[in-house]
Amino acid sequence: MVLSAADKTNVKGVFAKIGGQADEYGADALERMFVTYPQTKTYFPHFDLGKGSAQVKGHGKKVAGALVEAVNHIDDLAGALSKLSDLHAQKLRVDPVNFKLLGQCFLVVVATRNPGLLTPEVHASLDKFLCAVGTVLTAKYR
Amino acid sequence: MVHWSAEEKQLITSVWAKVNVEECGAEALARLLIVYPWTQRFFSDFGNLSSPTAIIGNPRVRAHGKKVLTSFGEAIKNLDNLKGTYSKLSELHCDKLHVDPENFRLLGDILVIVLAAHFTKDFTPACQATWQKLVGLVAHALARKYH
Repeated sequence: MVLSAADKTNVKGVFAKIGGQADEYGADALERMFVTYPQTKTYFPHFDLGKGSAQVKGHGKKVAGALVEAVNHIDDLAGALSKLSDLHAQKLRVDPVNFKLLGQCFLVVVATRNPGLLTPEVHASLDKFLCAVGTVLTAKYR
Repeated sequence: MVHWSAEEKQLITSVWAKVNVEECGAEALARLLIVYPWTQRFFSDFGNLSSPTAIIGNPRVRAHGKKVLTSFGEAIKNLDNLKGTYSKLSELHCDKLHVDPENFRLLGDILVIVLAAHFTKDFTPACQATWQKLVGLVAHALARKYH
């Protein structure tokens, strides 16, 4: 799956619009993922996952930061996410299926907070981008 | 046997009461065909699907989207018997339509996003969780008679 020039423009547009709220989007996406797909909590036994958790907020900020970094280097996702890819392969080993779940939640967050932004074309581009990120993060698993 | 809490049933019916089935169905199906273009394989006789604009404006897409979501409404009236509700449709999708059940999951996810965009902040995490559960169970019921 390849990101077209239009996809890249669409994705950059989304993140430009989200701007400084990216951290909140990240935390919101994580919260929704834990509630909607409880099995994802198994990766965070060391976290307080209650509502408003500072740890979830902090982790949401990390995740959002990584997405922003990826967008800023959208022509070389593998390069931009190389260290994170190593981390996920060697240490975290999050089952690949979970990246789709977080991706779905991120799309829902964009839809709830900025519905006008998520036209069908942008929806398609953002979904592709999130898939591509997941693919890079799991690329070194075996 | 599926269990629905009183809260889940409330979240489903209160959202559904405010859904325009025709608009929502048309949008969900159009987005499925746009976001996951390989799903167009089932609609080769629908005419012009050559661009997002064409898909969104395609009257057959709109009509079929309405049909699909109307059927969803039946599920909501029969939350305790999704298997029975979808038994014949499951056979149809397997034997006549030859649709990979993965497509039901894709459409379910799209429907959740359409609802999220419509209801914005009212589409709380609990609401999302309930609706993802529902679309997952509908997909499962539709796949149940496959052989």
